[in-house]
Amino acid sequence: MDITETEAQREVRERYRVWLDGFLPADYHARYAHYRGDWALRKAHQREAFEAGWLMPQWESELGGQSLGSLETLTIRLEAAERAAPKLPNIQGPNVVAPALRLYGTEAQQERYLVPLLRGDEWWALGMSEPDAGSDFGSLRTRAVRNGDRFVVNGQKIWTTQAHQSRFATLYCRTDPDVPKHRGISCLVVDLASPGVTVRPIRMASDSSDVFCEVFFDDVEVPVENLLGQENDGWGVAMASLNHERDMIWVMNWVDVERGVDRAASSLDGRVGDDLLVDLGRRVADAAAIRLTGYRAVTDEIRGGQSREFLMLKLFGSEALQRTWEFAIEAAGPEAVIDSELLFEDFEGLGATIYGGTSEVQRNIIGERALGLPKG
Amino acid sequence: VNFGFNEDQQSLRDAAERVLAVESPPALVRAGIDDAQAWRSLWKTIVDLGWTGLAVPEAHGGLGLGIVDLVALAEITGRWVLSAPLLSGAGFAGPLLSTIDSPAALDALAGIAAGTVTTLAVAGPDPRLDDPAAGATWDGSTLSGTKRLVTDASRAEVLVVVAAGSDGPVVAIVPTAQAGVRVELVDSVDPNRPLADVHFDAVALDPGSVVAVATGPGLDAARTVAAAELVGVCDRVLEIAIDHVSSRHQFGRAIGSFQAVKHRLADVYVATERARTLTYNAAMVLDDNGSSAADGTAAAAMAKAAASEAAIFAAKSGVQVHGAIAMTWEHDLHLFTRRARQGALCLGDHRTHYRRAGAAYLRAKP
Repeated sequence: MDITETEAQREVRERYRVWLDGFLPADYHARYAHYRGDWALRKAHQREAFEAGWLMPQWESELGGQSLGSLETLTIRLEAAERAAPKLPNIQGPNVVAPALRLYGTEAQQERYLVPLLRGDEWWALGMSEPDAGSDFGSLRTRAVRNGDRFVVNGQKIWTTQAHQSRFATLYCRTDPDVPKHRGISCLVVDLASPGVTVRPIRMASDSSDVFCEVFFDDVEVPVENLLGQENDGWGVAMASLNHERDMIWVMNWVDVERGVDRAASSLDGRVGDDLLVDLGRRVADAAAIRLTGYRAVTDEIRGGQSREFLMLKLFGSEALQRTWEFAIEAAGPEAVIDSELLFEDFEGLGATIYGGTSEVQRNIIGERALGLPKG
Repeated sequence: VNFGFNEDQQSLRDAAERVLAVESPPALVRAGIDDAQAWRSLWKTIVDLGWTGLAVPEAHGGLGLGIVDLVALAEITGRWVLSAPLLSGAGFAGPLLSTIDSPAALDALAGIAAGTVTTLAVAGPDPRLDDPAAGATWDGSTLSGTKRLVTDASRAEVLVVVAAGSDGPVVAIVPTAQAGVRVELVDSVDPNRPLADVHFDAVALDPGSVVAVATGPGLDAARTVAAAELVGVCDRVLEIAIDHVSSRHQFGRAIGSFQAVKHRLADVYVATERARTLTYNAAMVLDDNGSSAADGTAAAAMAKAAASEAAIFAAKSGVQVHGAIAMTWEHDLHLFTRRARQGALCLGDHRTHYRRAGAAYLRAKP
């Protein structure tokens, strides 16, 4: 065991810092609230991170990386989060779709889609949830019927983040209705500009940057070569994608916890009663435990061990995030009710225990996969 | 950064698990509740295995290892609710003695390695106060006052006492046989780790056995070892609970398939791993020469707070998912519930340590 950074971690962190400092405007941290909504800056950041090899540090240089190991990659991801590097405008593209394309895509698919996705030129949506298939993803009903060299797609997706701004979606469809539900699903890459696709944004309860959409498919034709993975193995693609999504989410949760703790501590200013100090300590411990458990999972995996701890990070991170902003509100006191920034954070936090698999689903995953409990 | 145990630490853990499964099974731990001498049968084995000298310098009969090694072992002793007074000496008193450069301290460390039962006295008349020197005073020639809830004091030959000296805290090394020392055994939750109030009635000590020292780093190590034991308790309770809910059927199904049960155990898992991560982190920070004392204090506070809270939650959840059987003497769970409670309240409870962690954060904030 060793808590100190390796030479490789130190070196790569230093190079990343220099690059990020060179990219960010001088007043970036002072005016973070402003820059958070600066889409041009966020897009430029993704492009330049791709060129400089910081977008996907573990991948080769043609794909926005520099072939770093998993420990160094995590170091960069946490550093980016800690430094509040601009959020990727279409975060599920690089973090969920790109790994699935690498894992399951044909050579031609990778050739066609990866670079524009990673540069941020083409955005992607995840066509998973349906009105009657949320947590029960396997019961989805959007149908794809093979007709020669095409699939014909009919059905509806919902809660599809950024579909109205996306060029493509990974669309999960039922391709075989006669087998148990998770065995008859396929994943198709669908061009959302295709005839028969209708996208309707849904007005959000708060000013969120991540807009949900409804997406309707009406006799949409999709070439057979757009299958991602094997026909009827969409379940495997989805599970791999959800793993990547969970892995992305906990880092985002962690930095929100850090910001929440910082915010709460700032509004304590002298009114440090025993109860507030105890709660502050709890939240500080949450923040440390999320980050360090991430390192623990990665270093266990490098050593060839099993890392059951990966399975808890999304649940732990998202619930810690909510507890932290709740505490930030308690620390601010009754005036929190007129503090639009705090209210926004608290409201955004409500989504954290829903997207990427609800906390209830995460507890099932932990119970069954980490603890080996019987399935319900 | 690396959170993995090395090969030696892993073999130590494997050996400890094997030995304790045979030598300290729940039936013997249960017997220890009524038989105050039951622990003695295992003590020689523990000393021979080198566990008492794990973190004692080699020149003084130990293995010269660090806090990570103590944590590696304490987790396993927690899994088996070890009755023998290993942690009181090697885990609590030892790390504090290691921070003191005096012949008396080195003698006491050599004693711990050789099997002299030793313990650490910190709590004062009001154990809620976060002041390790409270309750006892050293006037330059005699030690007076009362230390409370001292673990294993009734079994110990040597007490390591934190007291108030004229210029700040001192550490006094006091044989329990010394005139003026009175050990008053108290009934407590876990008779396998008996507690005693210890009274010092103007106990005359050789000034060489009393040293003024900053007690922070030593006590941070003790708290981290205590946290590790509690993580072991959580770990084993979770295993026992998983076994039970996987085999117990109601309504025609294993009860572990019900979400109400599954989700509670998932929460125990998260609490346990949160505590384990913070405990390993604290041990590494304390072993790292490059980390500051303040870093060590914050890390140990988070570890002890998290482990104390997790152990109580795990024990109570374990009882709940077992149902009525867990309320009986014959069932093993009360052994863990007792140790969880004892450990959680010893060397600072979770509120004390969350408060310390919160205060440390505010101090470090720019």
